[in-house]
Amino acid sequence: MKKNKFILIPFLFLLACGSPSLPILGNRDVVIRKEGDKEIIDTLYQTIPDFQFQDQYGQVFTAAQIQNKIYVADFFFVTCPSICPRMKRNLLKVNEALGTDTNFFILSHTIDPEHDSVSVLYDYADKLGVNNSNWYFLRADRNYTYQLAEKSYYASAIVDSTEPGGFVHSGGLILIDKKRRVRGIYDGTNADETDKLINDIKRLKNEEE
Amino acid sequence: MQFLCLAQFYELNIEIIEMGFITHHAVKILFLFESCAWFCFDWHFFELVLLHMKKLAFIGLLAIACTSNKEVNLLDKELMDLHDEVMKHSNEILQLKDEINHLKETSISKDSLQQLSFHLHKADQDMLEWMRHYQEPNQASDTAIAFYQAQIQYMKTLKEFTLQSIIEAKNILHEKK
Repeated sequence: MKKNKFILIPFLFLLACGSPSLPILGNRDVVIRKEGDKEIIDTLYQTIPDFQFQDQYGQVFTAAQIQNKIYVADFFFVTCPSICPRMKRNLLKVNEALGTDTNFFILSHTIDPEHDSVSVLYDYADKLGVNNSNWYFLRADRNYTYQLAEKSYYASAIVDSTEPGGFVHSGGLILIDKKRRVRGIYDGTNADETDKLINDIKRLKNEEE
Repeated sequence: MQFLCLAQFYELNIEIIEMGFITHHAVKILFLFESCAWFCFDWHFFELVLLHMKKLAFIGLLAIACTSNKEVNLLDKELMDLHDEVMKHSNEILQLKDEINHLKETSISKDSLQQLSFHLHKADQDMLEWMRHYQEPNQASDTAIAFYQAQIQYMKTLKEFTLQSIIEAKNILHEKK
């Protein structure tokens, strides 16, 4: 009977704190530091490193521009005939729900920069009606984009997968918090997963406010 | 004469049903006409039947269109699944190419390395070129089916070439190690 009382504790905690915070994905390190006589254990989470791309306006886009912002990253290419059109439809839904928030960004990285020039990306964004918003279409060397995708954005998914590779073309939408940590990966081709993403962005905003 | 028309009407029904193009509702309508036909042996009825034959023909054509639409959708899915499968290897191709291009002090001949690199490059570029020019047909038709069949064949060949190039490169790099 005494044990049963303890079962209630997590539920009481949930009631007191609302919904639990989103998990932090990716690799982590434990660092022990000393503060006087006390030993303090810190967890260092994997973060998205600094990056540099060119956006649809021909300007340089760096990680400094999304400093302390929540953003969703995805990988696509303008001529993609299969998953990308569905992904973009769902991302438009995300943009409609949160596009007016100046603290929220969408970064779409092309994996065919040879074809997807600045003007092609600009026209693409124009057709979607998202130019002059917080949705940026970014291009860089293919190798650079792939490495950033697989070593940082998809690092947690690759650890959990038995089949290495192929994540860049998996249609994932990756949610990044203000500290540049991965907080969720969602199937961008699935409408239900997109709704979950919108909900999680709102949760993340409340968590970080 | 009336019986002859009735017999022809039956033959047509059986043909349509056998061809598998008839929908559930159309079968119901058909049998309603048939049961009426047994009791009403006058020309006015057959005029009515002939009038409805146009509608039945329309239903038949609609059913044919639905069937080819379904076939086109299946072929489109098969093609896109193949494309997605090959695309999964893009990063692997780029990494292998990079590894080959940066090989130093190796017993492998320069020509072999160039050929390996070229195969990987070709596999990658062929897919990019395909995507850049791919246009799906506007409507379901026999031409569309033939188009998809040809595209699937091309994608299968490209998949085979891509996987072969990756295996080739991995084997040589493994030997080197």
